[in-house]
Amino acid sequence: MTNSPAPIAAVKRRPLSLRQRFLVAPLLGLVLICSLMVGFIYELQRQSTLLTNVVETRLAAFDHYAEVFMGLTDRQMALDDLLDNAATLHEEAVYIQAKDHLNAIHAAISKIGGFFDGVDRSLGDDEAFKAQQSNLLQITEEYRKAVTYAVEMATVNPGLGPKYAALAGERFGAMNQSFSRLLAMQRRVFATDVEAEIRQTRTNTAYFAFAGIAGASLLLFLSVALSRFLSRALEAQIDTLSQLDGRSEPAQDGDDEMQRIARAIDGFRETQTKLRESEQRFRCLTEMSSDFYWETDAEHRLTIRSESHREALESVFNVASSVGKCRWEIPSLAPDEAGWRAHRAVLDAHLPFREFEISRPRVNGAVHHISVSGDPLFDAAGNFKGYRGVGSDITEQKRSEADLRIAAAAFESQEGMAITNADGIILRVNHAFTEITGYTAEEIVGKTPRVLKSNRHDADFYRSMWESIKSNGGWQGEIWDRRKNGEVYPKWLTISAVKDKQGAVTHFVSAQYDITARKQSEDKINELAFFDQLTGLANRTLLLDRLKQAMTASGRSGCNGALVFLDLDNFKSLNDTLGHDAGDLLLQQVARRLSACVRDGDTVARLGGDEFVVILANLSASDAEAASGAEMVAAKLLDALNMEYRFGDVAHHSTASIGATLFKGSLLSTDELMKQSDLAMYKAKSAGRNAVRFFDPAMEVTVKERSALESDLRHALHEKHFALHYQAQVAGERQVIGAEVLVRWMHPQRGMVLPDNFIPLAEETGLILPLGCWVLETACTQLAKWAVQPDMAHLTLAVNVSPSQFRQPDFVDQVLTVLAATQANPRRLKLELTENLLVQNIEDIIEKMTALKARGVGFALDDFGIGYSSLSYLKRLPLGQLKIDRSFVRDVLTDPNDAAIAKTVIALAQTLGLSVIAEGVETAAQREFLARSGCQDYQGYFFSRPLPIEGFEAFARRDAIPTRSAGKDTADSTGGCNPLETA
Amino acid sequence: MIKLEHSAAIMMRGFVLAALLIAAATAVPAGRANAQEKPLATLAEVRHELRQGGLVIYLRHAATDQAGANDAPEDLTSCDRQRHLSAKGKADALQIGESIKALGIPIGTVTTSPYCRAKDTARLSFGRFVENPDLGFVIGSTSAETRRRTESLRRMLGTPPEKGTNNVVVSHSANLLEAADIFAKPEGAAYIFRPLANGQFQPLARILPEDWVAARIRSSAPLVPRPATDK
Repeated sequence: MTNSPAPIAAVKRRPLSLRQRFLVAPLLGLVLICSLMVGFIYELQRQSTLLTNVVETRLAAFDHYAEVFMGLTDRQMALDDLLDNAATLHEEAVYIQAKDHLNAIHAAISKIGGFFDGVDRSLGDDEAFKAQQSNLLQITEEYRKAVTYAVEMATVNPGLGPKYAALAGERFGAMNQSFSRLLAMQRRVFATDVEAEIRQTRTNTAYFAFAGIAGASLLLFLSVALSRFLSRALEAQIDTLSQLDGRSEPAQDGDDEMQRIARAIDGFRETQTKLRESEQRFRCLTEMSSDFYWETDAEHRLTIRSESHREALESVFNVASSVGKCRWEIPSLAPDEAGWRAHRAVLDAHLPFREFEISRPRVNGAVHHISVSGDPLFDAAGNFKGYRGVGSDITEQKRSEADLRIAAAAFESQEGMAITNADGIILRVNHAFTEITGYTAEEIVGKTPRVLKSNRHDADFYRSMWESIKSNGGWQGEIWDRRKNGEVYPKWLTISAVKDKQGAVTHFVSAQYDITARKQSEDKINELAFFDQLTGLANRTLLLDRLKQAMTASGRSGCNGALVFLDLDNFKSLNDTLGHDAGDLLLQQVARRLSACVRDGDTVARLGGDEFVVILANLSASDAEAASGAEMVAAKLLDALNMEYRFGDVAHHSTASIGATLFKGSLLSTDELMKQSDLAMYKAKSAGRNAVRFFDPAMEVTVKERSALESDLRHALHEKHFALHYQAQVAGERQVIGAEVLVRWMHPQRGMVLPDNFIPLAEETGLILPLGCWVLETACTQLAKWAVQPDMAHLTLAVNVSPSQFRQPDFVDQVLTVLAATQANPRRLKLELTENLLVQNIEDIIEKMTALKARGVGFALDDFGIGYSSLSYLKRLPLGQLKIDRSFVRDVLTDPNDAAIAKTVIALAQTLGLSVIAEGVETAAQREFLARSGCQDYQGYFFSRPLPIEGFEAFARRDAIPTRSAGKDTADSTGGCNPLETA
Repeated sequence: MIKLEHSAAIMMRGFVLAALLIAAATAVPAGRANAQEKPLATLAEVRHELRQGGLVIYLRHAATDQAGANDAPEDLTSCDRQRHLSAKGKADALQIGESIKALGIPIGTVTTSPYCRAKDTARLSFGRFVENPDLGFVIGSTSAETRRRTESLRRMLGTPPEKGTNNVVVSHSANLLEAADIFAKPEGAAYIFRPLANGQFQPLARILPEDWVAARIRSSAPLVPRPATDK
């Protein structure tokens, strides 16, 4: 940034640069030459166009038409010759030759028509030329006619040829003359045009000469004027340069401009070198110090004369435009307005000031603290010129002060704090330390923390602590110390080493807090989380954890372990009879007995309710031995639990069912193991309780199958994948009196599933209720349909009712609702009950049956004879029918006992006034026997298998008709094949 | 074609090509050489065919008065400025018409040149005609127009007349030379053509005015009662 020389005084407004000024004269010359050249080229172009026109258009046209006319002349002469000699030729030959000439003459004449059109536009308006032109065309036409006629006549009569040829020759002569006249006229016009062009060219040449001379004169004048203008500017610069020469030697008159410039630059360079040296000194001074230098003018605006100072100031103020502003005009956080007023009062009084502190925000949000000192400046006359001074960045200093204050506050926190030197001598403790340890600062400072030792930890503990401090620079952990009053307490201690810049430890800081209370609550939580409150045994969570550990351990050691699952038998009835308190007491005693029976490494847990689990660890590595070991323990457990319990003065006996499974390693999940032992336990229960069973994989398969079937069954219920089949019930020989409905499961994959395969499961899962409901509904709907068909209206339907269904409290309502909804006749509905229903709550059953009977619903006792029906009950039940079980019917001919039973049942029914029906009738002989014994109603394959509704209806109709009109028997049988086959 | 002798197939093709060319030459009577070589028949030879119809009769206008000519022959608007039929020509024209009628030759369309001598000839011979500028004398027309008129005449000669009739075309000497390479001579001469397939035609006979008359005189008696078997 050197100062530019003073501008030339002569040029005030927007001075042209020197370079532009030098370009003026050549540019003007160039413009002149270019314009002259353009004019000249234009002129040449014009002349060239003219010549081209002359050569290409006019002369070519003349040539062309001369050629045409000559050709025409040749043809005319040839034709003339031919016609003259026509008499010597045939007409035909004359025609052929003459036609050729005529064609050529026609072609030539057609060209003459447009002959002068394009030659010269200027002639187009010339009257004389036009007249001559039309004259030519007219004569030409006459010639053409004459010559044509001459040929025609020669072909008619060759003798006439010469006569007409002469006529045509005359016409041709006239045409020739006319054409010559036109050519002459055209030539004259052409000559005039060319002369005019020559005159024009001469005039243009004169113009060019004049323009050239004028341009040259102008250039000469401009060159003179510009050289004066340029030299004046240069002289002014040389003068300015001379002034830079600080040596103030007088200019010698003999020097030319260049010498003067050189000398001036020499002097300037000397002065500059001196200045730079002094500036470097100054810069060095300011840069080495952490302070910066500043100046202000009389208005207190910051002024900067050197670059380094500008940078320093800008870095301090972080404001690029700080120069030219007063200090209070730059954003600041402190001092406040009053502070600034006080400062300005000092400045206005032109007094020196020291360490005035300013805080400024930085771009990144941090705060910058500056301390400024300044002295006023006065010139020789004593006028105030501004301030000059230094400033320093005290941000770091401020921060350290703040850190110290924060540290002091932090030190007095809730945690007990102690600071020792590198030798472990306590230098300082805080108030919380005193509260925790009981030692005041006065008592403890100067001592080591060893006075706090509780002797709960051995030397190893402290050694590892110090190793950690040395390698990691700190340690933290739980430690037991002794208070001043001798109480030993746990605390959480954190020790950190404080190091100096070289990494050497100078101090240790320890923070500690008393965790006595926390310890206590932790224990409590632990107990709650892992132990059963009632028995104090491990709970499920802890059990699973221990099981996992045991599995891992067995995997390592190769020893077997056993998971033993216990469930008290009939615990619910104890609860029900003696109350929950007694139940709790029992559970506590069971827990004690179990714990007493196992070894130390084993775990006894209570899962909840009356379920207990024992983990036996470290059994033999051999599976057989481990099993027998586990069985022994299990037997011991059973024995222990079978002993008498006493609740106060009440004695109680209880048994348990035990399932066990072995494990080795972690092949199975804990879940699977639990499931296995649970399964085994259920096996023990179903084996009659008070038993031990081991898990067998077959159990799992069965369970899985069952659960698959169950979910299938639920799905089927939802999707109504069931159908009813109807097995005919026949009276006498073949009269169909009704049917028993049998449910079929139409499984999408397995096909038709018979009730034996799913009814038991449905019973267990309770699905029998919706299924039974559906069967009842479907049967009643069918009855309602039959009611309006005269040949079916008399049929009854027997529907099997499951005990659990019947035991539903609202069973009667269910049946009545279905009857009402379907509009079925209750008298056609027969509910079949099984004997085992009668085992419980006989009064309730009688009540329900009676209610339904009152509405007309009939009842049959199914499977009569195989259960343990009490005859006394039988008498009280409002039954309508007994059913002889198929098992008796099957062997009625071979087994005298069965025959006797069948006869007895029939006799019993007759005695009680009930009807009787035999099921499972398969042969005519069986039917004969039963008929002879007095049973008239049958059901069985001998008559019909269970059939879908269509099949059954067909069977019923086929059978019904002959009973009414025997004549139609054969006619009707065409419709159906044997229903046995369709089934 | 270079390897013709080496390839039986190509040779065979060559024969076929040659045969086609020969057939074309015989079938196209417009071919110059052929027409001149073969002498044309007389009226007697074509009389029977003429009576059955299906032919085209090209008739050059009848004889003209050459002395009455002038040098403005193409002014078709005025008969005064054209060559006219001479007395012989008018008589010939009448005779030709009479004879054709008497010989039982059925006439279909009569098309004439716009020239008065042609129209007069048609009027005298047949009492009716249709004027067609394409039949105008080709002697004075440009070569392009000559070509066009020639094509038109060829179409007339090559177009079969309506069944059971013969078409008549009345025109000039040079026109037939251009179209069929026959210079119709003298004035009043008739040329009989048979239209062929594809618009081609074949010249059959040349009949002079006096031939018509002679034929009428010769055939007048026996022709009146025609034997039934003649059919």
